[in-house]
Parts: sequence; structure tokens; C-alpha cells
Amino acid sequence: MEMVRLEGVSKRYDEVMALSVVNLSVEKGEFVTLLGPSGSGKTTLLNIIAGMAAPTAGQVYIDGVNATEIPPKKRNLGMVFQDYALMPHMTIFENIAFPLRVRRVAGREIARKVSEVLGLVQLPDVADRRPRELSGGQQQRVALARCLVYDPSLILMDEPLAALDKKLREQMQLELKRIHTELGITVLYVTHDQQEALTMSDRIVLLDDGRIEQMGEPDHMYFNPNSVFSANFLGDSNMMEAIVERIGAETGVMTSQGHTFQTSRPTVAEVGGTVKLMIRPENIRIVRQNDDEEFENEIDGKVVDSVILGGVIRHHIDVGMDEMFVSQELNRSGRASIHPGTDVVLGWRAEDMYVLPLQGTLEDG
Amino acid sequence: MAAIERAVGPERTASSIFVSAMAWLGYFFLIMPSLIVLPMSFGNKFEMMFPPTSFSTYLFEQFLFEENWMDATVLSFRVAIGSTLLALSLGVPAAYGLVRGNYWGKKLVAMILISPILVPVIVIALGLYLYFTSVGLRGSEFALIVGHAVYTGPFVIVTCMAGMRHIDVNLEVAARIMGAGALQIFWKVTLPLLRPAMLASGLFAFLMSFDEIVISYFLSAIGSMTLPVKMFSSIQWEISPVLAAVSTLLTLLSLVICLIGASFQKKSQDSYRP
Repeated sequence: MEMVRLEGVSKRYDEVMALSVVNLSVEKGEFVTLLGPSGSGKTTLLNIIAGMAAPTAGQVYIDGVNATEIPPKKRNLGMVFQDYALMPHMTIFENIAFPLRVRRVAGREIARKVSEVLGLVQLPDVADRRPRELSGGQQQRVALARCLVYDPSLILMDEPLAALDKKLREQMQLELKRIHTELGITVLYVTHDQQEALTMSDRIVLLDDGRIEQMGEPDHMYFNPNSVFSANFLGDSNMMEAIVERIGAETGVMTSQGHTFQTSRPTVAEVGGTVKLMIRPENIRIVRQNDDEEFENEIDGKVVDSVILGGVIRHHIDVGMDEMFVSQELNRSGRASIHPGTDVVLGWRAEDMYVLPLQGTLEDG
Repeated sequence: MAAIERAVGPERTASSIFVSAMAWLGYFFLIMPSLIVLPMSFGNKFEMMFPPTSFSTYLFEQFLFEENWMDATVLSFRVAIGSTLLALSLGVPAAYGLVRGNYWGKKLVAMILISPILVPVIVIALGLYLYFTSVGLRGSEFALIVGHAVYTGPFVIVTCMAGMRHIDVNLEVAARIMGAGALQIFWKVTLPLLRPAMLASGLFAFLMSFDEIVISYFLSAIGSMTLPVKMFSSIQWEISPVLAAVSTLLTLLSLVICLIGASFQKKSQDSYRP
């Protein structure tokens, strides 16, 4: 069952094309993240669905109805903002009761629903306080409660956790996910944080420069990026330019600055053409003497730096390419650390090397 | 540990003492007229003398019971309240429209609404005089109220526009998405948050109207004079010491209004943070 459909939606501001021809469909109960860098059009898209901005072209359908001309107050949506947008002059109770009063719900029913929804976000005792007395995380939960109390068909969230510190953000991500799963409500979530997108979404819609670059489930997006942009934005990547030598049924062979590499991934490219090869840092290993793993691809390099990031170590290695390679491995006490300046050999498997077009997406080519 | 023992605060250097002294001198210079008038209001009954040679409250009694001073005062109050209410009820929605609105010609509208500030008050007074005479309303309380509202309106608008800019626009967006209509949003969300600005501009408009002399002089008739106008004609026809008493009372009124304004500022800071 479709909850939101966008057909050919575009938005132009004078000279700038904020969104160009977006086609999107969101199922009931889905948690869809609009992911992208600043200026990618994700907030514009959210505002068009909310009704706060009108599309220059295209149609917006909400819950089966053509909502393109319908004003925001009649669309029965909920929205959560980055700065919470709680009314500072009202108590928490009055803040949450606001949409119910607008709908002329009876006083006793209001009290019941407010208390129910405060229990849902695990803040049962704050009804009489004012927003400024609560912490950021609490205020955001109240903002969420304010959305849930009137049972909207769709909740829009515009970078709601961006103002919170890291630990709290991670906690809230799991909270939001729990509430989403419990209530089965449709959520459209805007963020530039790829980790957030990977944690919470049923599906990710990756936007760049007003266009949908790629969309799919988090797993699929991570293990099957369709472009250099997607590979870089979702997850980390090591890139090098290469020329296609041969494409066989099972393998492809590329050369880059004198090195020959193999991939066992399905490749869409022309022989003789230039492509970008991509390997994720966690798939690049520093070949050690006692390793019995065999790597189809190897390259020599010199260690520049090793950075400990808590549970993982990232080694930055100069391999004679334009960019340094990053190799990531799990951090274990007792593992011999590698000094800067050490010569190493890096290895990775053929199945971990992606072939991506120099420009645009795999679908374009 | 000498660094910890010394109190934290601005240093008392020679230059800072000099600046303070200059400030106090300037302040004294500005309130000196009031300081002269205050003892005179308790002084001689029949001629203005400074320093006064006798003490009595006769002048205040004269103000309260004789020669229509109270009539003028009551009229001033009525006009001040009326023009303040008028300036607020037109100025607040105007400020809302200028800050939140987005329409062709908005800058032009803003300029027109605020233009009375740019024009010398005597020009405004003359314009109002000619207009109200042409419709036969010169000398009426209505003309005074409207005239004062024209004069104080721009100040109300500018103050309320500043207040509007402090109100997070997302509050109104959120209210809209939650289903509230424009009027509901204005009444339940915007106005309560605009209250400090409305109060400040309302008190200021009241004071401006009460003290206003030029427009009032042009628009007053013999039977309906505001207090400043009566004071002015009184001093032209006779040097009456009762003026000292009136001045003291006017100063007291300004003081009371400023204190009210200040106390609301403190209160509003407790209950609302932008």
C-alpha cells in the first residue's frame, strides 16, 4: 500500500534547479531516509511533501489522494524539526495537546491521549514543565510525542538529531526505531549522516545536486554502490583510476599505473575505457607473514600513519597513487602496531573490488 | 594566590573614573530642569521662585480642584489610551505582515508605514490640521486619537517587527502542519510570544502620546485641550506657578510607566527565552 508518491516533481528557484524530476514511492509503514550532502535537495523534497513549498512541476500523492494543491494544515502530517519547535510559552502538556485542541477534541480525551503518548516516549512526569527546563533529548522526544498524539498518516523528520551530542544521538536513533516498529507509522527522515541512515532505514534514498542518485535497502546501497558519489557518501572508499583490459564471464582485468588488478564482480564497462576502481577500507588487509589468506590483488606501499579509532585501527598508506589508501582492521590488544615508514604489502580479494564509471551512475552508462 | 584574591571586575583606572564622572555630569545636566521644578512645586503660591522661600502643597491643590486642569489631564489620558490601542491594533498585524509576508511591493508598504518617523512632527501636525479641518473634525477627541496614533504607530511597528524576528518561524510552520489555521496561529502562538514587544511599544506609545505637544496644539480646540497644550497656553498668558506642580506630576507619571515597563521586562525574561 502506497503512502507517498511523487511523480515528476521538480522545484526551481529562479536560476537554481533545487530538485530535478524526482519519482519516488513510499510504502505504508516504511522508514525511508532522504540522505545527501547540504544542498542536495533533501529538505526541499521534504517541504514539498509537507506542503510548505509548491513543486514547479509534478504531482504529490499522499495516502492515495492528489495532495499537490492541498495546504499543509489539511494533509494530516506530523513534522519533527532540528530545533524541536516547541512553544516556549506553553507547558509540555499544552504543547502536546495543541494539535488535539485544534481538532476540537474533548478535554478528558486530550488528557488521556497526552498521558498515553508521554508514556510511549518514556517521559511520564514532565507534563507540567516548560520546554526550556528539559534537555535537548527530552525536548525532541516531546516533539515526537506531539506528532504522534493525533495519529498522522505520515511523519516527516528534518535532521531531528543533529543538535544532540553523539552518544545521545545514538540512543535516540534506537528510540525512534523502536517507536517506528511499535506503531508501524510511515516515516520520511532527512539527514546528511550516513551512519544514521544505515542504522534506522528500511530504505535509503541518496540525493545529490537535486537528483536521486541511488535508492535501496541499506545493505544493498552499501554493498552495491552505483557511482563514485554513492560509494564515497555511504561508507568509506579507496579509489583509483584504471583502464579496462579484458572483461570475461567471471573476471575483469584492469591496469592502473603499471599494476594489474582483477575483479570478480559483474562489470559494465567498455574495453579500453577508463573506470574507477573502489575498495572499502575494511576489505584491504596488510599482508602479514603468518597470514594464510591469499589475495588476488596486491600492491606495495609505505605506512604514513596509523590512527586508533577505539574499536578499529585505520592505516594510511602511500601506494604511489593520487590518494592514499586506507586499510581498516579491528583493534585488538597485543596486536603488533605498525610504525610509520614501514614498507607493507596491501591485499584484497577480487570480489571486493568494485568497478564504477568515472562520471554518473552505472544506470546512465 | 594574589591573583585569586583580587575580585573579578572592571578595573578602576583613572580613565574609567573620568568616563564615569562625565556620564554622571551629563545625566545631571539632563535632569536638572526636573530637579529645579520639583522643589518649586512645593513652594511659593503666587510667583515662580527658585529656590522657593515657603513650603506648601497649595499648588497641587490648585491643580486638582481649579481651572480645569483635571479636565485636561483626563482628556490626555483618554487620548493616550485610545491612540495606544489604535496604534497597537494596527501596528501589530502590520509588523506581522512585514516580517512574515512575502509579496510584491512589501518594501514600499514598509516605507509608507514607517514614514512618519522621517517627517518632522510639525509637518505631520500641519497635514493633520488641514485634513481634519476639511472634514470638520478639528478639535474633536477622535482627531487627537487618530493624530497621535499616526505619530506613535511607526514606533510600535518597528518595535514589534524586532520582536517578531525573535520568534522562531518553525513554531508557526509546526503549528500549520499540525492543522492550525492562520488566525489560530496568530492568536495562540505569535501573540503570546510577542507580548514583551507589545507591552514595551504600548507603554512607549502611551508616554509619547501623553507628552505630545505639537500635533495636539494644532488639533486642539478651546474646549478640548490636552494637558501639555494647556500647560503651553497657560505659560503664554500667565506665569503660573501651578505649572511646577503639573510638571512634577508628569515626571512622576513617566517614572511610574518606565518602572512598570522595567518590571514586565524582568518578568518576561523569566518566563520566555528566545
